[in-house]
Amino acid sequence: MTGLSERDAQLSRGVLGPCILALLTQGPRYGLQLVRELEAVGGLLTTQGTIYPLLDRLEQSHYVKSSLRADRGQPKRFYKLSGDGEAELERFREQWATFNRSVSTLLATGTRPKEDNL
Amino acid sequence: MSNSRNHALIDRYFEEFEASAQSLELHHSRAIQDELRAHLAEILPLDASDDEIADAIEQLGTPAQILSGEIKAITPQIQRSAVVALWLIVRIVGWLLVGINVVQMIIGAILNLSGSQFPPGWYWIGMFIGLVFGGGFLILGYWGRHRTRRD
Repeated sequence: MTGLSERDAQLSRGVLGPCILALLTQGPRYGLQLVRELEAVGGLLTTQGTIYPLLDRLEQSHYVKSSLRADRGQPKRFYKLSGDGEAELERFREQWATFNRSVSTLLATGTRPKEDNL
Repeated sequence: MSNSRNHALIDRYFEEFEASAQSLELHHSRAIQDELRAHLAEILPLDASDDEIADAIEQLGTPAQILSGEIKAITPQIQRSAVVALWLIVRIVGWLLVGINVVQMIIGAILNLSGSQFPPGWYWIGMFIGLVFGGGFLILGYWGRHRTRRD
């Protein structure tokens, strides 16, 4: 589902890349497959086309590798997670865990999280 | 006869995309366009109606929406490029100064060793070069030696 608000778009912008990397841990995917899977998760895609520049940027950063493959007669660009991509995903998972705890605590209680919870 | 691959709406969409993607490097713009075309080709039947095509394009998002994150992502790259260019200029100028200095030292050393007569006006040239670059001090040295010998 697309058509998110500007705030949703801003929230999703920072996490969309790692979410794509996470989907690719399940195996190579092509663009439209990723779009469908992200739409199924919900709340991540502002528009379907958003992921294509992002995939290009992930490839520039060597987090994914792509190759053209024939799929039911149509050549499609399949994206595969690289070693750098796995490492980046792992770094993001750690950052996200801390970020998520901090923001959740702050939003729920209005106070900053205790140091030992971080 | 047009089909969903070469429909006027799609042609116009990619013209708009190219206009919006001018700040992107050409091969990145092309790679993204190829993916967008493959996306549309897969979701649209060959005999798609105008409404189906318009709907697919709407779901894909306008070029401005699609590229909004890219334009923001490019800005730090441009800033990084400016820093790299500045650093390169500093290094080139630095090496140039070192080169000039070394050449002066060599000239100064040759003049000192040769003991040839030196026109008095060279004192000011030596002084100027010596103030700007250290190597000029050797020319001053020669001048001093020349004066001492003459005195």
